[in-house]
Amino acid sequence: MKAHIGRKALGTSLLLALTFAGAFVARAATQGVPDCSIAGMADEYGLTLTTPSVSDPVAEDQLVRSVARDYPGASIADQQVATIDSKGLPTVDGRQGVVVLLAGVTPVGIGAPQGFQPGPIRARCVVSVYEALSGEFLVSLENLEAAP
Amino acid sequence: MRARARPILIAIVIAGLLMPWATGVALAKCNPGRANNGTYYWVGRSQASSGSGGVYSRLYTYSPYVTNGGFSYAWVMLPGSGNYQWAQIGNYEVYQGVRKTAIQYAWSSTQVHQINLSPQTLGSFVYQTVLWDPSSHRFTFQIASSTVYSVVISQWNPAGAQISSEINTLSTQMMGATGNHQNFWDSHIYYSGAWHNYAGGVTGYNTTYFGLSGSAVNMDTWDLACSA
Repeated sequence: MKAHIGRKALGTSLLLALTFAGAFVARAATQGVPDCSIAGMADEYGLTLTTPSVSDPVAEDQLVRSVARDYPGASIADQQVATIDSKGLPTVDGRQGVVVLLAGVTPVGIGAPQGFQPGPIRARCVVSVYEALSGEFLVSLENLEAAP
Repeated sequence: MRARARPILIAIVIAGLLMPWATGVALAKCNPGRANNGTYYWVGRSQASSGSGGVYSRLYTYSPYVTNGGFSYAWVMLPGSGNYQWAQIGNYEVYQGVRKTAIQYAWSSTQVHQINLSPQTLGSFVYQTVLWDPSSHRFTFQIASSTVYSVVISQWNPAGAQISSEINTLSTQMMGATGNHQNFWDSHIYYSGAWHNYAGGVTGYNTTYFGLSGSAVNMDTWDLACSA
């Protein structure tokens, strides 16, 4: 059953979040043409990749299945096993994963403001990150642009 | 003995039949049977407010039918005043049932960025928030009041807030169904140094295919072609 649950405290929490937002190291949106490598994408989106201790990251066939599920038609251009630290994506912080650089990604569209009909979109660089051993999806990063 | 067992068996069968309705999730996702026309549609509300500092809503997590090459997205957004100026977060689904929590931000036609995170639990209600700090030009994205990402965008300032369901082709189901609405509840907008009840007006939408009800604070959307 869907229930209405008010959260008056949320406003206070959000105000606190605003106040302390300066404590986060954010990415400055001043980038130009991206460096479409794993290291370049990690740098652009604030991920620090370090050598992990795991020796068996994710079974290759599991990784291929995961990529096919998340990005049908794409191929794996490069991959790196790493421990992932992040200033902006706590869901991946400190986890061991496989970072996969994808080629041939065709974006389906973008979540544009109401009334704005964007044209076709293309992907310049896409990185998808899967947790080591389990192959669980952690995060994917897409650098997109309107197709000229 | 057999006579005693029969009512129990019947009860088990009835319970099994009722389970999908009880969860409200198993029956989600229906092919609306419309043509793939490659056009974007929205059902939602928009409120103008120069320099708005945030928007949040408690989003129901629904799973719609999505055609190949399409997406269905329910989101909260701080838009700018120009094209390719927005920062948003919401529930996102693409072809073959792949669901994510998606953050998007843009500052030009050549700088559109999407970050996909793990999806929210089907049937759950989760607060999703976008904040803007005017002093640092930092946009902060939150799920259940926890920050999941932040980015500094200096090219534009928010000009209001939008809350909406969206599809990019008519053959995809808009979030929600006639008997299982996509809820955007407890919606608020931040401006003039305080949080206010969201007061966005209904943006024109196609009433042949989609439904909208409720107030700006507690809005529902759905696809008229689908019942659950």
